Formats: sequence, C-alpha cells, structure tokens
Amino acid sequence: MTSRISNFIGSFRRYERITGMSEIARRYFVMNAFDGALTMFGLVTGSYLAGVRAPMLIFSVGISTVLAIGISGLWGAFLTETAERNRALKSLEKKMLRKLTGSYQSEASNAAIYVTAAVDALSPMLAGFVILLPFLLAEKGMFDISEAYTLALGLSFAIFFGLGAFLGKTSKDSWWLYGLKMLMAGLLAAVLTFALSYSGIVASTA
Amino acid sequence: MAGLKKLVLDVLKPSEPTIVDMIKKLCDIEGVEGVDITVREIDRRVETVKIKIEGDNLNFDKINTALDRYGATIHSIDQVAGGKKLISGD
Repeated sequence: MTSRISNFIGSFRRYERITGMSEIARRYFVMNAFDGALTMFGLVTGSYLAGVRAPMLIFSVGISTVLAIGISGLWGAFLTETAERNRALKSLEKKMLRKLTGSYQSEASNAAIYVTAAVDALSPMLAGFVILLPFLLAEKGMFDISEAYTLALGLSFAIFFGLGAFLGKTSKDSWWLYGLKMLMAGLLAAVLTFALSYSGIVASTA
Repeated sequence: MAGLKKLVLDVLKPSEPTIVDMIKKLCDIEGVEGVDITVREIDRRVETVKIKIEGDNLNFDKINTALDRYGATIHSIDQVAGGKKLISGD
C-alpha cells in the first residue's frame, strides 16, 4: 500500500516535470473558483434585493447554476487541454521521429488533461457550494433567512479575499494587497446590483 | 557469467524526464551494475545522450524497453562487449 502511494506520488511528480500541469491547474483553480464565487454572490445579492426569503429556492437555483458552471468548466478545459497537449505531443513526436504511445510523455499528457479538467470543474462548484451552504442550513432550521444571507455574503468576501491572498502567495508579492484587489470585484458586483435594484430594473417580489 | 557486459548507446531523448530520472530506471534493471549518461547535444525539447552501461549478462531488450518508456530512440549501438571478462583497449 505504502509503495503504491509512493509510486503514485513519483509518477505524479514525473508528469508534473514533463507537462508543468500544476501551473495551468493553479490558474484554472483561481479563475474558475472566482467565477463560481462571484456568480453565487450575484445570485445571493440579487435574491436579497428581489425579496426572496425562501432558502431552498436560493439553494436549488444556486446548485443548478454551480453545476452548469462546473460542467462548462469540465468540457471547456477537457477539450482545450486535449487540443493543446496533443499538439505539443505531436510536435515532440516530429522531433523524435517516432510515435510516443505508451511513453511517459503520452501518460503525462493524459494526466495533465484529466487533472486540469477536474480542477476547472470542481473549483467553481466547491466555491459556489460553500456560499450556498448557509441556505441549506437555514432550510434545516439552523439559521433564519437573514442570518443565512449575512453568512453567505461573509463567506463570499472570505473566498474572494482568500483567492487573492493565494495569488499573492504565488507571486510572492503582498498577499493582503492581492486579497483586497479580489475583494474589490465583489464590492463592484454588489454596488452594481444595488444600483440596478434602486433604478427599478431589478424588481422586488416582496 | 558470460553474456553482454558493456553497452555504449547513442540515444535521442526528450528533455523531460531528465537523465537523472532515466539513470535511476536503468540502474533498476536486472544485471546492470553501472550506468553513465553524458549529454552530447541539446536542442529545443530534445537532447542527444551517450549512455554507457556495464553489468553482468545485460538484457538488451529490457534496456530498450526502459528507454522506450522515456520516449527515447537508439540512434546507434556504438560499442558492445561481452564474454567472461571485459577486454580493455578503448
């Protein structure tokens, strides 16, 4: 069992050295988690301003949206990565004057496709689900709806800041400055939603 | 034991995995006692290397299969030596 795990880690490291997949996966992770979180943030603020007070309704709409984003990410990344990796592999085969079927290069290329597609699909789903969780718990009676809204907005801001801080750590720059820059996007979305609401374009159902 | 004792190969391989990774795999092959890999030429994404392998009753097929897994191609077999003892002279 231990040797299997160490073999798996060894193979994964080798694939990483061949393809450099962690860099692209990191980009996909931040970009798509941010997409998922911002979409859910928009849904939550929009629902609040429209006077929606049914937690299960927000959760159901949110989960469907997050699933759609996840599937879009999965398909998009899978096809894009397949095209790019196959192109790179064919270019290498041309230089090597041989087919690379069954080689580490071919295995690494496939691993990179699956890993990046999985990251692209799961990151927005996870970020979105965390923001929607208070509404599920509100439905179970753990919070009332206003607490669920407050918690969801707080979690959204925490995710925005966290993703920014992660980028800051990656770039070895100021993590809090990157965190604040990401947070600005959430605030901009909130301001625009409020502006739409007060202009009467977003009508309240209450 | 008689059999193949020394092999010198001229090999074209992709730059990744590196020769450090490759040498570990070659050393794990049964009968291999020593491996020496020297980079002779570096191109974009590929490199030409000289691989010297010494051991007892070397299995060429297993060595070839290992190189194949690394996406490498044997350009030429530059030297072979075998028998009960190595003949010095190079």
